[in-house]
Amino acid sequence: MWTVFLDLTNCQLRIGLSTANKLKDLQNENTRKAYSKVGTDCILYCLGVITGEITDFKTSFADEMAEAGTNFLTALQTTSTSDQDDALQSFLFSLFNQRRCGPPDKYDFLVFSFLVPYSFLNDGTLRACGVFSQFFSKTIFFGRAAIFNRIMAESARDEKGFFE
Amino acid sequence: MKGCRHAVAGGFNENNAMAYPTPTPEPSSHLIDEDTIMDDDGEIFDSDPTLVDMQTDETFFEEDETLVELDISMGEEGDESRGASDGDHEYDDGSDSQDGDALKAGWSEETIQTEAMVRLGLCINTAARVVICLACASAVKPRELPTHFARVHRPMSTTTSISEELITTYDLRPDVNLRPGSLITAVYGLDLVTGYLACDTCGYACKTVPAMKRHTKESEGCKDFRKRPVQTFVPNSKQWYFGVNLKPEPTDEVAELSLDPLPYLLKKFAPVPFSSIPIKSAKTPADANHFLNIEKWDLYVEGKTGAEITELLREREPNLRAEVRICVERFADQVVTKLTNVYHEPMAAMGDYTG
Repeated sequence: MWTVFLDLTNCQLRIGLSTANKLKDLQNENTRKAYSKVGTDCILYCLGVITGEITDFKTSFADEMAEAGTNFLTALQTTSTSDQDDALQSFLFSLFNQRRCGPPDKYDFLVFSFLVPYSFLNDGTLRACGVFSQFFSKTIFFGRAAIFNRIMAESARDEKGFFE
Repeated sequence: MKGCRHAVAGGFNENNAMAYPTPTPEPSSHLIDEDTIMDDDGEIFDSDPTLVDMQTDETFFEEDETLVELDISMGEEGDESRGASDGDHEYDDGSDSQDGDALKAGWSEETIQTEAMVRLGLCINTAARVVICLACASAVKPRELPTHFARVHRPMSTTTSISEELITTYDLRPDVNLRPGSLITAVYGLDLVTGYLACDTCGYACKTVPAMKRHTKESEGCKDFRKRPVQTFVPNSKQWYFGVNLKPEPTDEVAELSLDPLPYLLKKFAPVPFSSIPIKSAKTPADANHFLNIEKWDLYVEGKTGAEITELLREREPNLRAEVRICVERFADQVVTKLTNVYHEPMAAMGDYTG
């Protein structure tokens, strides 16, 4: 479990806000909606890549991603909210639980390949990377939240402490 | 030497009183200065009696032998009257509208009108290399301008030196050919007359088909003819017409834009939206910042426009998007709930550092 966090925190991409500030921001409903919007786009993009509908950008994904994405699509057909939540969490976990985040192959990573075009949606420019960093920060935090949520759930299920 | 400004209605009214046009910016050379045209006393500076006003000298344009000889010498045939007198029939759907349907030709690129010319009601056509008197709707021999003004447009005046300068600067013909000798764009300032046939090669115009066929037979290189609007440098003569091309009518959109300067300026000077510009990578490392140089993420989107990327990410399967959005928002709420319930752990678990 811990190695997951190390992989993500060792990612050399800039993240604009400290975790404390993000946590504080996330408690704001508007911020949370903004994160959800990015998360929705990210998930749809990843599903598009996994299903072969999006071929415009060079991406790579693990088998785990494809399996989790398929499960999430299947869960969307059901009416069970818990099934959808679990499938989504597994999918997010697969997206962000990648040890390949370190250089030099991190840029083919599925989420990263999403972040680059996504930074151009709101008048993003090549000159200023602030917009890119902003979306990157949001999405990474969103992924971390998924990982944290999963850890917490598994810890509760196994009746273990967080770091056990 | 193309037209240097837009059309300005200038010249004289029906009573030969000077009608001043609306002043406009003058981008081209000021060949004629008003102070140099009129002397201090307001008298005509040069009134050479030997110069003949082409507009008013009726004897010059009478259909006499001299006239015919002149026309033949230009490789054309003054046979309008002869053709009609021979009993030739009129062109099928031709209608002689030269008496009542005269229209003014619009501004053309071959027209030059400096500010001084505007004051005098003159303009120059570089295709025909003639000076046009807008008030008379006729061509005037450049050297006869002082006489023309003295006779017709008092108290306006000009000088022979100005005339010579016009001839030199704009390469004008010292005399005025009765026809240009080729098809040209309609001359601004002259009346347009319909109901004539015009040769596609030399622009010769006449009313009847036999007369035109006679022209094509006798003139080398002239074959085809058609009905065209015609003009004449000498409107009082009611002959010496030549065919002209009309500029294409502007479309409604163009006309609308030309009437409203704001949309035109916005369209012309507004920067191209970023979403429609294909993204290019930096040519050299110096063109990119440090972040871009390291990650080179611009390569991922090179060649795509922002609009294409937006379509790629946002416009995909709206039904699926709605379902995913519900799940994601619900997930975000759960995360917030759990994170806020656990005070210390999230700081470590989320990686508490400032990037």
